[in-house]
Amino acid sequence: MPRRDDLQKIMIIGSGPIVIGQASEFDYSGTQAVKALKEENYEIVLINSNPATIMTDPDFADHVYIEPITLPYLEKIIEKERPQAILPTVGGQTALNAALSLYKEGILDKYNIELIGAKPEAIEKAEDRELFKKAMEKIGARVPLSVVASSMKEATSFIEETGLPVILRPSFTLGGTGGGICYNLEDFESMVTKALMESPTHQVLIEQSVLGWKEFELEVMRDLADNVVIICSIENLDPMGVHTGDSITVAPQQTLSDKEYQKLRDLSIAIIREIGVETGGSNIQFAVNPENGDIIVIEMNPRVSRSSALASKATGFPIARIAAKLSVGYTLDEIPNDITKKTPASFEPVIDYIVTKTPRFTFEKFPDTPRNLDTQMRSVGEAMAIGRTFGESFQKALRSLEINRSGWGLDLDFSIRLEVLKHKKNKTHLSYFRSALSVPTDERIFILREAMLDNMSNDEIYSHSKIDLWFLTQLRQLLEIEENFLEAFNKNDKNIDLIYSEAQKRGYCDFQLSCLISSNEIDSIIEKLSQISKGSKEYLSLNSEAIKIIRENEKKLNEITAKFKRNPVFKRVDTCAAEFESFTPYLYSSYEEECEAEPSDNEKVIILGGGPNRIGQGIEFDYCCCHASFALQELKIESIMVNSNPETVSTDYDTSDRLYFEPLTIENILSIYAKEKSKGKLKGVILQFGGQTPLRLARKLLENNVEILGTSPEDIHRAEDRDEFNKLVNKLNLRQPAGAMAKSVEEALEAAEKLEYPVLVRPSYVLGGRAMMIVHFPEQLKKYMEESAEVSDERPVLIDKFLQHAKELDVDALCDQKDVFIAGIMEHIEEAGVHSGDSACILPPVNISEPILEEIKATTKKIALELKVLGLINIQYAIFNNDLYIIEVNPRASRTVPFVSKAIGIPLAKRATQVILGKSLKELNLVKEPSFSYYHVKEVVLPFKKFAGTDTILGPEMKSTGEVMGIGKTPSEAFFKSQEASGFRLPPAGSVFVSVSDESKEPLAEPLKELSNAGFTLYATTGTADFLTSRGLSVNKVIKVHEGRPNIADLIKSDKIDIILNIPTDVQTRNDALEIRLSALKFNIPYFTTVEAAVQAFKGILEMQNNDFDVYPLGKIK
Amino acid sequence: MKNKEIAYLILEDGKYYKGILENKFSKKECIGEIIFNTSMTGYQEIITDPSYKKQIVIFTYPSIGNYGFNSEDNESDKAYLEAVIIKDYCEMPSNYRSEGKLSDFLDRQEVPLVSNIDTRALVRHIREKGSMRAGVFQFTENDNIENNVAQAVSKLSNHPKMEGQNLTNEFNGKSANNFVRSYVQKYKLEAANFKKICALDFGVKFSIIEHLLQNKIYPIFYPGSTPFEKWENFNENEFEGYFFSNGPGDPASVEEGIQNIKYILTLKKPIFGICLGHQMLSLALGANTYKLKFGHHGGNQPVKKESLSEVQITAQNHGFSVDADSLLKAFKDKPQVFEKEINPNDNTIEGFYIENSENRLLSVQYHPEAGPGPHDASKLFSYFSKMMQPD
Repeated sequence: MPRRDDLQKIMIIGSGPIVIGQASEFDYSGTQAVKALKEENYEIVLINSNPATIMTDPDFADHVYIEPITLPYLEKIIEKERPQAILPTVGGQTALNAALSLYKEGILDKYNIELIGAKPEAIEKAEDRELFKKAMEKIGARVPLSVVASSMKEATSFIEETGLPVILRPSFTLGGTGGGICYNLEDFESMVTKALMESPTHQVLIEQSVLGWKEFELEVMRDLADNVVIICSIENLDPMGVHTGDSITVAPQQTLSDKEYQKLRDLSIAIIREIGVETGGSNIQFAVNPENGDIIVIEMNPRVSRSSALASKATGFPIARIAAKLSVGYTLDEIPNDITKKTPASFEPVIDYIVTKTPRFTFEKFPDTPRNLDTQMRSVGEAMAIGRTFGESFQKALRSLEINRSGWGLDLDFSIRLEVLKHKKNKTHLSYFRSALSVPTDERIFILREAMLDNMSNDEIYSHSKIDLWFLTQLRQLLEIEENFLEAFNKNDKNIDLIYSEAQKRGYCDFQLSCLISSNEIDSIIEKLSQISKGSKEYLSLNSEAIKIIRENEKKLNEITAKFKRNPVFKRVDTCAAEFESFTPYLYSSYEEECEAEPSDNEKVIILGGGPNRIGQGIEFDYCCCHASFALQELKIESIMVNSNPETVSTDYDTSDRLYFEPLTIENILSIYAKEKSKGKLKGVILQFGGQTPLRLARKLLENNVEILGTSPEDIHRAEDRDEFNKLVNKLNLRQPAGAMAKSVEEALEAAEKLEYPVLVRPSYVLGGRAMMIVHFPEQLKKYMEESAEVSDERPVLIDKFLQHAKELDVDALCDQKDVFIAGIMEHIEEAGVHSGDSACILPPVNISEPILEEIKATTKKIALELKVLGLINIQYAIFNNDLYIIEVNPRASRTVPFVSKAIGIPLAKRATQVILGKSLKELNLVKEPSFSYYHVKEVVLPFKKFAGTDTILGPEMKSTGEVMGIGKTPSEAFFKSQEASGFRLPPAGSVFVSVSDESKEPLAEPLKELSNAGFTLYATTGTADFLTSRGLSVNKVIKVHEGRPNIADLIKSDKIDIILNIPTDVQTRNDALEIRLSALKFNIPYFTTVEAAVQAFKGILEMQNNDFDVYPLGKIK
Repeated sequence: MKNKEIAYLILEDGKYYKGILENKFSKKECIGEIIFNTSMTGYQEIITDPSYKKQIVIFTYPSIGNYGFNSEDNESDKAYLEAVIIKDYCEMPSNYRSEGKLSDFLDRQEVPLVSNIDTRALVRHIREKGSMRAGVFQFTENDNIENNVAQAVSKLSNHPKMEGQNLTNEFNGKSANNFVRSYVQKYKLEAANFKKICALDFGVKFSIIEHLLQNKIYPIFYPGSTPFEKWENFNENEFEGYFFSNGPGDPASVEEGIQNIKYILTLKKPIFGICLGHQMLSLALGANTYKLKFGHHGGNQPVKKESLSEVQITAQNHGFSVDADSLLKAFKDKPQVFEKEINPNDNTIEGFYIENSENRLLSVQYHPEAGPGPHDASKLFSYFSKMMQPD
């Protein structure tokens, strides 16, 4: 069937900010969909509130709206643009839910809009638990015994029947928010309450537990001719009970015979037909009983998903792209397979390698939360790796995670080994292993290694963990290889070449093998470490000693292997296991015979990507890397991307000329570099766009004679090394908070004493404020040094005087070593102390005086030129007592680059790439500073809901997962929209609860008065209430939680409060108000913890009360 | 990998690969046509599929042996292929139905299992050069490899090519009829009410028999390449339809088989042919067959009705193909119904349905019985049953 000509204009809904469970994979799918439909000459309207996406680039869609993905804004855009159809299946759950509410509110009918890809009935059938259950029963598929409960009573009567444990899944939520496994009656009530609350329809599915069953996923596609194909099967290493997003998974499935696999395939086809997904992709999850093969259908997503992004990367079959083409009428046989060119998309990909996906967690940022995994997703990113053996694929994937792991063990992370040692000494290690294996955590896979090393049998490990014996056998095989290698090495065995080669084939890198041959020394170091306290001088010097030993042994290893060492070859991902020729250089490394890299004769540049998403390093850097690639292509230079993150646009084989899906480690990059250098003209490597991951490799790359393009690693070092930076600040005669460096607890305490508390402490060389903290007294500092910081001689802790109540600013600029282009000065809404990645900011600034702005510009230019920056630079400033302080200089792309690019309409990363490759700012016409006719607010999205018990107060450690942008004619309009987009509904009327520190009272008096005059009811705690009353406001007094009842918590629970404003004075009052903040979180009530944010929000509410809002298409902003 | 022996895979064009022998190989030498199969599951079915007789099979999926071996999934009584070439062997299978290791089964069958080969490189070579003669050889430790390879290559060039080989003579229907009986017994089928058909055994897969019986069709197998005059207990009035099975080798060389089919065509009963049976039916109708470069071997092959958008994903395993033009020319009078199916990957013919005044013929190159592979086309068996329904 040909393309539909009755449609001309199609709207695509994006997925909004990055949150846990919905990350950059939807930028990948959205971008593919936009590109696919543009190829077909449709006019595309796009809405997404997330500025850090490629899909919202004005170059792709015709009409881009960065607006909140909520009904009023959607309707406004529809009214303006009048699309004939909406494609809701490429923007995750957000887009699906948005489309469904447009349908339910009659907006689709009103504007005569058709949903393409999935019809409302199909969406409901797949998403509504009860309807889904009925549909499955109809086709004879088994689902777990379950009940959809809308009340506690219904819930309780179900478990009276089935008993515990049960699994709770709230309807229509992302990544299983509010769900979980309930083991006992005590938890049951609170968990059900929470789940009911989380579900927009106040329904929770309570289902019989199939914990420990094998878990599989199939990615299915269907077209209008009712052709159905399976794109990929996925098997989870972690059995049922762990959310698939949090599981280590492999593709294709490994442990089912054809007979059993075909049963899943048949069921998948029956399910997609019964649910009625007419075109596009769906993801179906199954549980299989390992004892007898019984199959239970767990769920189905009638849309492109995280797993489909993974499946696309794993097979080379672009699901979202094909889904978009199918949605406008094509059938699979009419769409060519891009990779083979000669064959159509109507086939099932086969692969001749094994793919492993490993989740990336950030529990270290939420120390109050247990690390347990269950059916609610908690990981913030993932890495994928490809290998010709499971070992190769699995170890590469772990190595890609950026968690200081070189593979499955054999590295410098001693934490688990220390824990095991402690238990061994107490003779409690067996019970430790048993419980650590049976309760899934992010560390389980490494604990499993220790259990195997302790001779625990596979059967026993299986009995606790239910991890399939296939995986356990494969893992134990790795330990055998280690044993063989160590023995051969120690004995000077002449066959060491064979054993080394076998180790390489199973994914071992030289660093791991160096750790292996250092085993004895490391064992004794770990023994010593177990006896002394963490963070002490001795502790740190022992760590340095371990590194030294390993480095020595690495040299020894290199001497021995030099004679026979072979570089890896590169194989292609081609959808067809080499049955047809591949025209797409989508490559992975393997220790095999034949290399298919076929480097070209062209001029070329390698771009290093950012690796897995994590808090502090996410989609923003992928956005920059993609732009670097686009710029190279425009310059007719071949772009070569290296990255390990399957959720990204950068790892789409379509984005760059060549793609290496590889871990971003020195060994892997050097082999790619050597291969690409062997032919054509490799100009060098760009590493300023991928965040901290590639930057960390700068010096090692330099040592290995890798040509680095852009700002030189020496100059990068001058900005990042404290001593060097101090010199720079002195040389340029600038001001910075007094500071010091410490390499141990003792030094830290001394330094802080001198600087006077409060001080700001952080490790050097980190991104996202990892382990950054404001410290008020010595005990806190001591604890910090012992527990949070990863300190070493090479990586000391930085201690700075903390500038209380300072105003913070971020500047992004471009420099070509002659001129500097100030792209954006962003004023933070929160004051100093909140990590820049967590604070809202406004562009252009509104509260900064002209002389200070001039000083900022002059200083930025001075620093950029002094550091000989070639490309992007980001500087953070603070204004304290009207003086300008330098906080931090980052000579690289920052997190705000996409935001600024969208606000000023200039693609900064693209321009930076052009500068790096020799264009001057003048040539690029970047001379005049940008002017603004709108205000732009960046607001962040926080993941607290997923981390039980975590305080929601913001601090210097970054905790946000994503961001949104609000555009407005006034600062308040922009701020208001940013709040809406980030998920806070600011009500036009209602009541506000206020409890603030003394110094915040004065600046809030006037704004609260206006709010009160506009009809809002005010509630306040005694002190605040007295103050406001004295200013003539009418306030209702509320007592604090510990003062009796009914207190503020009761008010919140009884739905009396619409906005919460809580600004604690210090650590003490902060703890008092914890419960208020937690209940705000629980009931999704907008809450503000800074004066500035509150004032902007109030202004926004008042403005919105009086005026109608508008939506502003990007590109037409100027 | 310790203590395992080395074996060489040597191709007729002189290319050779050093691999690790995962089982016993007392013959020290075996020769066949080398082909690759892209199925990611189903190694057991493939290994026991008679159509692979005289072939060396490379599995493109790199980890083989994962789910072991069982007594339920065999496609015949033994392994017909010459050797199995893989990347990585999984020695410790994990599956609730597994009854042992793949290598143990292959030991009993005296079929070598050679691992540690860059199978992707090998497949790319065969894709470029076409399937060819190859052998697995084991040499004594100190032999000069180059000499050995040269000797092996000359052996290979003296070995008969697949073209021109009739490999169907050993299939006499006995094992197939035994399977029919035991299946009827096992599932307590009321076979008396089934439609009885005459099936020509050229190396039938058990999956085909299962599908026929599941569709209430009771096949009685006869030795396909023995002239029907010599068949025991053959009474043509007894049968409501005819079936021609899959099998190994070059269809054009099975002359008696083609003669049998020519005779059966005169009986004007509904006919169903699969794979080799399809090719031979085409030959009997007057069409030609030819050798494909490296064939279709896998479970992901698309099949499309020529005029429609409908695509089925099928299991395929064939090195020869029917020439489309010659098939059309074979009919002097245009049939009343002529539907053709093609493989959109290379537009080769994958099947046809013909209805004219004399015959109703259903013939497919692919494997609707799967075993292993997708079940999309399994409805053909019920379609065959309907063809036999009196109008």
